[in-house]
Amino acid sequence: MEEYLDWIAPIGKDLYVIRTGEWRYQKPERDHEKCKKCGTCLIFCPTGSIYVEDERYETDYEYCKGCGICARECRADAIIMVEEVRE
Amino acid sequence: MGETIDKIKWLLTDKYANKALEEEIRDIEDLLSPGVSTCLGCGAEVGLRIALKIFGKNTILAIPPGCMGGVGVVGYGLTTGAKVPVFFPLLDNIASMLAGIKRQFNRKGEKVYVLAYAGDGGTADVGFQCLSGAAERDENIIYICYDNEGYMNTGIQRSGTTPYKAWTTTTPVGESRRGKPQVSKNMPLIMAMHEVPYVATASIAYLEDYATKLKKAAKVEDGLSYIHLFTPCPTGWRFSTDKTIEISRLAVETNFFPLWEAKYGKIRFTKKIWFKKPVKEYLKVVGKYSHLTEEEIEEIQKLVDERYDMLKSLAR
Repeated sequence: MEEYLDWIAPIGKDLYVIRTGEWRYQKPERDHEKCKKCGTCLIFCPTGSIYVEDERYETDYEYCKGCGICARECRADAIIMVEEVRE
Repeated sequence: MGETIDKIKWLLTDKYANKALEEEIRDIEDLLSPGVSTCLGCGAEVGLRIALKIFGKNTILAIPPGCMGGVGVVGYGLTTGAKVPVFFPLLDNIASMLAGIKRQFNRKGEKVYVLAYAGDGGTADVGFQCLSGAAERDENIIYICYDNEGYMNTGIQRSGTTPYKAWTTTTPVGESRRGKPQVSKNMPLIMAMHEVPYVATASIAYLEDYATKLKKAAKVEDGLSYIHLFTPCPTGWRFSTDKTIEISRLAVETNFFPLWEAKYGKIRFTKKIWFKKPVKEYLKVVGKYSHLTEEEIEEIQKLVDERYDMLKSLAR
């Protein structure tokens, strides 16, 4: 496919990325003991900022906007939203 | 013992049904930029991320003007918001432009998914003539419409799919006017009546179902496939950002937005609702319906029931 891309739909030179984590006014905090590892937060996260590391679900605070969907959808109540404190 | 019962209850809920999908998509690279400037709790962003994960790198994406164009999925200047080729068609030539691209790739003998991710304005209002034409010509493209029931990124104006009595900035609520006076355009059914190979409705609360429908759409080789995705909008619908998924689940559970698929015009329901909830439960959590009186809610309930009965009579 690559050879046609220049004239059909060129790929930009860089990825357009905004550090959306800076918008956050509340922050999800996870209790790893309560987490049942169902992955609900991972698929519903609009920013796709939940990842799995060593069998533990973590949030990437660089891009998490703090919408609170993960906390509301979590069946195990393992995520709570706390106020974001910036220094 | 109590703990076991809790676990069984938890296993039986719909929410747990997403585990299989999660395992499938967890390790796939996200083909959308991690930081695009959608509003907090955007439903359409969930839909686009899942769609790109299912279709993979061999995709050409068309993003017409709308929310997803405005937030930077197409990018600005020399940058792009997606890791696949993405371009910006006009509102009124989305489907025909994609059809041309697909034909050229067919001529070269390459298999590429050409995918449009358009809003409801670009689908049901402005871009309707070219979509209808492409459907009739059996162009082999995949068209996903994310339905947030209005022109949300330009300032919450009404569109063809805005429901009856809903508040928008162009259908205000006051003494003489009570939101949109007309009923919404039943866009997925209009597309099903084109008798194209695949038409489906999907909701972001049932992502497993949505992913299955995307895979079925990808398999279609003899015509157009259309998916109508219900994506609540916290900014335009006036609800708090964490309720996006909950509200789209309620819309399905109240039959406000039933989930079905149609192959060559033959309709089949894909999500059976065992315990139907009254539409009131959905209307009372969405801020754009907060002005409704009891009589108006009754009226909407009647419209929803009529639409569902009509769909049921068409289904087999």
